[in-house]
Amino acid sequence: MTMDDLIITVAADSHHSYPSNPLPADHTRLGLVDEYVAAVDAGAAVCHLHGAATFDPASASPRPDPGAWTDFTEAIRSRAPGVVIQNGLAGMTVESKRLLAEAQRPDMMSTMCGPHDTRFARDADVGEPIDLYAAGTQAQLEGLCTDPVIARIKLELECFTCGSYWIMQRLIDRRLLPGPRFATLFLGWEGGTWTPPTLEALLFMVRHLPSDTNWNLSVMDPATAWQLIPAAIALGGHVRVGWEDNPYLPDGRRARSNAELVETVVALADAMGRTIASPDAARRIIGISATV
Amino acid sequence: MEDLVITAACDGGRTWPTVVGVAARRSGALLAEEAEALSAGAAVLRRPATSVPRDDHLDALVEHDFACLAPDAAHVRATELRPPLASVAVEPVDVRTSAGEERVATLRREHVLGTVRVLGDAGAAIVGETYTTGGAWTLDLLVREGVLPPPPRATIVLGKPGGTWSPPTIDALELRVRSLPPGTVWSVAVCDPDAAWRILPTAIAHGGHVRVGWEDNPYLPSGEVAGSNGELVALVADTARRLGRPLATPARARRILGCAEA
Repeated sequence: MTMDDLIITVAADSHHSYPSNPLPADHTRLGLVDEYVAAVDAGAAVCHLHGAATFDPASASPRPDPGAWTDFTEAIRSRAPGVVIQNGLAGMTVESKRLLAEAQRPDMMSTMCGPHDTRFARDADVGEPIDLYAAGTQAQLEGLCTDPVIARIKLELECFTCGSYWIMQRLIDRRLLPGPRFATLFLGWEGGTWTPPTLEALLFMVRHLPSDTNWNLSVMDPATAWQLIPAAIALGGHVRVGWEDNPYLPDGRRARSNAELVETVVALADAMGRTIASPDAARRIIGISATV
Repeated sequence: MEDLVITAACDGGRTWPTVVGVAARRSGALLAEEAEALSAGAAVLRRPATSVPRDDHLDALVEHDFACLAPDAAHVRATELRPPLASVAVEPVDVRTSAGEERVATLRREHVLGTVRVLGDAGAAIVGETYTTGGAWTLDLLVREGVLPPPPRATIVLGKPGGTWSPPTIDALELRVRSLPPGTVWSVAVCDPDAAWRILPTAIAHGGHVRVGWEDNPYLPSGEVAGSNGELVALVADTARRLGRPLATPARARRILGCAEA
C-alpha cells in the first residue's frame, strides 16, 4: 500500500495546557521563532501557531494582534521558506479570523467542528485547572466556509469526538467543505469532549472519518502519546507534537526543545519506512498552493 | 447478568414532532402510552422533570429527565418531585429534532457538578446521559470528586443527529461501554431508525439495559411508525426472551439502578 509522506505539525507556543511552557508569552521575542525554526529543521512541515492574542471578555474569545502575529509569522517564513503556517486559536470570531487572515495570510486555519469542552490540568503543581468551552456549531463552521476571505484558506477541522463528523458531513453534502479535507483527531484531551487515548478509540475515529479527509493525531496525554503516535504513522495518518500537547519524551524526560519531539517522530517514521513530508510535499498532500 | 431494565421514553413530541405529532404529548394520551409500555415489559418510565407531577397509580419506577437544568432550577424541581431516579446531561449537547430545530447547550463543569449534587442531596439516583465518550470523563470526575457514589449509571445515546452525534454502530457501542468508569451500569438508546434494531440485541446480550420509545426512535424494524410505545417495548422484551435474559420488575430495577427504597 502506498502511503502519503508523513506530515509533522509542531505546536509549541500555547500556555494553556502546560502553563510551565518555558517559551515567552510575548510574541515579539525571538526565542519563539528560534523554537519553531529548529522544529522545521528537524522535520516539521507545519507550524501551528497560537500567536499574539489576548482574551476578549466581551466576545468571550481570543482577540488577535494582527500586526504582531504577522511579524512573528514572517520571521518564521524568512528562515523556513515554504513552511506551512497554520493558525490555532480555533475559538476566534469570524471577524477576528478574517482580519488576521488578511494581514498575515496563513495557509491553514484551525476551526471548531462541534463542541469543545477541555480541562487543562496537566501541570498539576501550577494552580487550578483551566476549563475552556466553546459551542462550535454547524452554523459557525458554515459561516467560515462561506466567508469570502476565509473560504480560500484550508481549514484544520478540530475533531474532539465523532460528533464532528456529523457536522462535516452536512457541509460536505452541501459542497461547502471541498476535499481534500484536513482533520485533527484530539485524543486524551480531558473534559466533556474527551475521547480516550487508546488504540481502540483511534481506530474507531479513523474508521468513521468522512471521505477524502487527511487526518492528523494530537495526544494530550503523556502516558499514552508515544503509544499512539507509532500507530498513526503506521495507519497513514499525520502527527502533531510539541509543547502544547505533550512536552515529555518517551522515557519521561521533559524535552529540551520542540525539535527534540519532532526528531523522535522522524526517527520512528524512518524505522517504519515512512518518508517525512517536506513543506512542499505537505502542501501537495494538504491541497494548498505552493506559495502564498 | 442482571435482569434487563427496559426504560420507556414515551414522550416523542419534542424529538420527533414531525412523526409523532403534538397530540401525543397530551397528558391523557401519554398516560395511556405509559400504561401500555409497562404491561409490555418496561420497568422504568422516563418523563421530563419539567412535567407536572402525576399521581397515576402506575407500578413503575420513574426516571425524571433533568437534562441541562441549572442547579437552582434542578433544586426547585427536585424538591417538588422527590425523584427516585434522575437523568442529567454530563457533556455538551448539540442535537436536532426531526423538524431540524437545533438544541445546543454548553455545560460548565460547576453547572454539571452542581446539578448532580443537588439531585443527589434530594435522594435521587443519577443517570448520566452521554452522547459521545466525553460523558464518560465527566462521570469519572464526579466519582473522583465524591459527588457521585460509585458505581455510576449511564445512558449511552447513539445516532442522535447533531454535533454530539455518535455513529449508530456496534464498534461505537463497544468503545462507549469500555470508556465508562469500571462497573458503570449502562443502558443504550439508539435514535437512528435504520440502526436501532440492529444495535439493541447486542446491548442486551452484553449486559446492557435498553431505553426505547417515541422519544428516541418511533419506527419499527419494518420502517413503519409504531402505533404505540408498547409495541416498541414488546419488541425489546421479545428479543430479551429469545436471548434468555429475564426482564426486571420495577422493584428489581430500583435495586439495579441504586434507588432508595420506595
